[in-house]
Amino acid sequence: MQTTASLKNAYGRYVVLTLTAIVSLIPFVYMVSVSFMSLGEAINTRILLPSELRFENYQLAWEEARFSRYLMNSIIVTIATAIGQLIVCSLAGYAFAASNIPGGKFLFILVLVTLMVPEAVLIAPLYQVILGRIFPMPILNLVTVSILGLCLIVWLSVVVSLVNTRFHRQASPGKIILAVLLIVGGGLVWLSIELPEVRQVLLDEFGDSNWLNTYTVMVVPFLGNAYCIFLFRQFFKQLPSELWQAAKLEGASHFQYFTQVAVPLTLPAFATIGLLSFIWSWNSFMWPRLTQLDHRGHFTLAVGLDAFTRDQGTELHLWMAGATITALPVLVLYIFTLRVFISSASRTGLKG
Amino acid sequence: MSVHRWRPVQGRFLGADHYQKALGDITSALIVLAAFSALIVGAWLLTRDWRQLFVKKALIIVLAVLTVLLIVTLFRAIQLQIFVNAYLEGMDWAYDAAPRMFIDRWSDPEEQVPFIARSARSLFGAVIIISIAKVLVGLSIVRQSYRRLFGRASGVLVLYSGGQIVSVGWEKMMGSGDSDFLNSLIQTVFYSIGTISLQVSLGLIIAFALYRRLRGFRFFRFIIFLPYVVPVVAMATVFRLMYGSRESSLSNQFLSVIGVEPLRWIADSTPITSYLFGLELSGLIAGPSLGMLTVIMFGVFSYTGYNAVILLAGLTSIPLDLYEAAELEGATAWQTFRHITMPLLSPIIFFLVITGLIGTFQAFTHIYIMLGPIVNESIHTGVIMIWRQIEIGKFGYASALSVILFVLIILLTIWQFSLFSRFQEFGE
Repeated sequence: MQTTASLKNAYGRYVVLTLTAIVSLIPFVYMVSVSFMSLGEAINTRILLPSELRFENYQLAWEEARFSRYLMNSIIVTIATAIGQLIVCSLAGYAFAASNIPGGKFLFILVLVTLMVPEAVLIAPLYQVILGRIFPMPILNLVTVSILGLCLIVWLSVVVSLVNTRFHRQASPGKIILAVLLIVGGGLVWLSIELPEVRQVLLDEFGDSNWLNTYTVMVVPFLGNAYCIFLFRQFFKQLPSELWQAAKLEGASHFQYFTQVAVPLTLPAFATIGLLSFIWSWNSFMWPRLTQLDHRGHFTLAVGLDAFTRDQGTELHLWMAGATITALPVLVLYIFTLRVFISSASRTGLKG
Repeated sequence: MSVHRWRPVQGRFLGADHYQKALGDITSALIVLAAFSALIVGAWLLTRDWRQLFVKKALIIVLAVLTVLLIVTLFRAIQLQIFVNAYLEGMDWAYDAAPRMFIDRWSDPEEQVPFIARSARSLFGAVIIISIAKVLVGLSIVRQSYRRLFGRASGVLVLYSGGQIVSVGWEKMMGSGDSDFLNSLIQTVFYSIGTISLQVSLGLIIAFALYRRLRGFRFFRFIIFLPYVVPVVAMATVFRLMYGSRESSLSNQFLSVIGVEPLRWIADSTPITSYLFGLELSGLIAGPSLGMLTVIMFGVFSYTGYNAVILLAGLTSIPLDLYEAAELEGATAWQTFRHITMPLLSPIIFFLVITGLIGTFQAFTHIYIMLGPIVNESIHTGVIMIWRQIEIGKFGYASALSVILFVLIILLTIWQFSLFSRFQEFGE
């Protein structure tokens, strides 16, 4: 019965799907095709395909329009945001899932409410914060660095316990964390004394002045993402409660349970959420556009492409080369992680 | 690390000034808002099934809301009447307070009263009719069919009075408030309705086409989900070229193939009704502009795939034996769709509409990119207006506009919940 029905309708369904596919693909084909044209061809009517493949367009965009720099910045910001979100939100999600302190539910609802607040609503107050008009900048820096440091310490012990179970070692987390902190901290101090560039970068990021034109401003405000916290809470809630009971009987604390049991069991969730935060961060436009003012050292691809189209009003072929460079990394990621991508994106949504 | 130079920047306390500037007269804005909820209530009254007994409770709630509204309106009318009299007699205090008190600062003071009076009158009518309906239905002295008639009649009345207040009050607000911002809200509503209706219905069609595996399922799903994945900035730049006003843009080339004059697409602020039917309308009835249509097309392009995938998941979760049973009973395809598929799919459609609503009211990036340096007021949505205020450094005003937008989103979501709750019941 089913087979006959599907055979009868198959042609109609194929027509619908093919039409949709064509409509979906036209902009991509147009983008790639124009990106290989010369300027004359791009402006001319009745030319849909380039006469030859001009790779020098990409070279121009890459070098002179500084898309290489933008790509670099995008990668830095995106990876920092994704890792930071995983670290911060997993801890928050675990706290919401495991603790039953009074008012915990209310706090969680407060977190969820932020999902309904448009980004535009947050931008005006957030901008005042990063200018140092509400809290003094040094205190903001101190709080940021210390909270991130605490999260990092927890996560270092997670990594140590993961490595321990993987390679059957018995390393003690405390010593390793101390060593890593000493090496990284000492290394940073040594580098900033020896190399003026590193000192300058550190001063720019965490100096006493405001956060405009830094990487920090594109990363830190998004670390506590409500979607991520919600997802992590769900994943940690799904762990059977017997596990926690057993761990408690053995005398484990929440810290030990989190680092040695909860995280290793929910690693697939980390992959899913990491993918999502990667895409969110890669696509984010409004906030970077507002906080990266005139000098272009920290432009991400999205902001850089926008600035480029505003400055070079006529070079359409280079616009499209830039757009292709912006879209390509995400497309590659999409192709390689298709199944995870579709399931996780349809679970939460990528865009607002 | 020292805080000795830090001083919190303290602005002047302005009270509700920003809100007054944006909305015009705040009382009339509240009245319009309340009247808008009356519209929703009216629609709800119309679609209710009046044979059940919960009508008593529903009518009491409606009656209470309307009465409060009536009292507020009457209070405002009396206040305004006193004020206008003082103004006409030339009292000093009335002249000082004039810019704050008048709903429309520029029109004749004597014309200020009718709006409030008219809304009070229509509200009064609605309250009377609903009270009668409530008494009759509550005492159950009328037959079922009459009960339904009363319910419908009160629904129509509430719709009428609400509509009248909204339309008159909106004009007054446009007259005294920030007409750019208020206009941008209308554009946002156009964008919302256009995008959500198209993307859900197209998504449904595509989901049906993908339903029950066919050869090339994965390939088609890959392609259809693709527009949702790519960065908005890149795709919006492509759309800006495709729908540019140049003669050589892809859309205009396509038009020239089928023999139509090139259009200005994104830069065009002419309403589409004038292109389609040659009408010369202006204002709200004229509908979205051609530029807005282009923006809607982008929205549909990038979100339909997402909707289709979600709806497909919903379709596959409907148990097949329901369809088999329907086929045994001899149901037609339409009957199966109407009585099995739609009810079971309605929670998912509801979810898509809600998320779409929240999303479209926040729409910014693609509109900003597609606009480029062009100024086309007919596609400035709410967030774009907020952005422009931020860009010129007016953070206070931008925050006020943001709060208004946020309140609107929350209200719309609540209204959606109350309207769709009827359809939700099937989904359990």
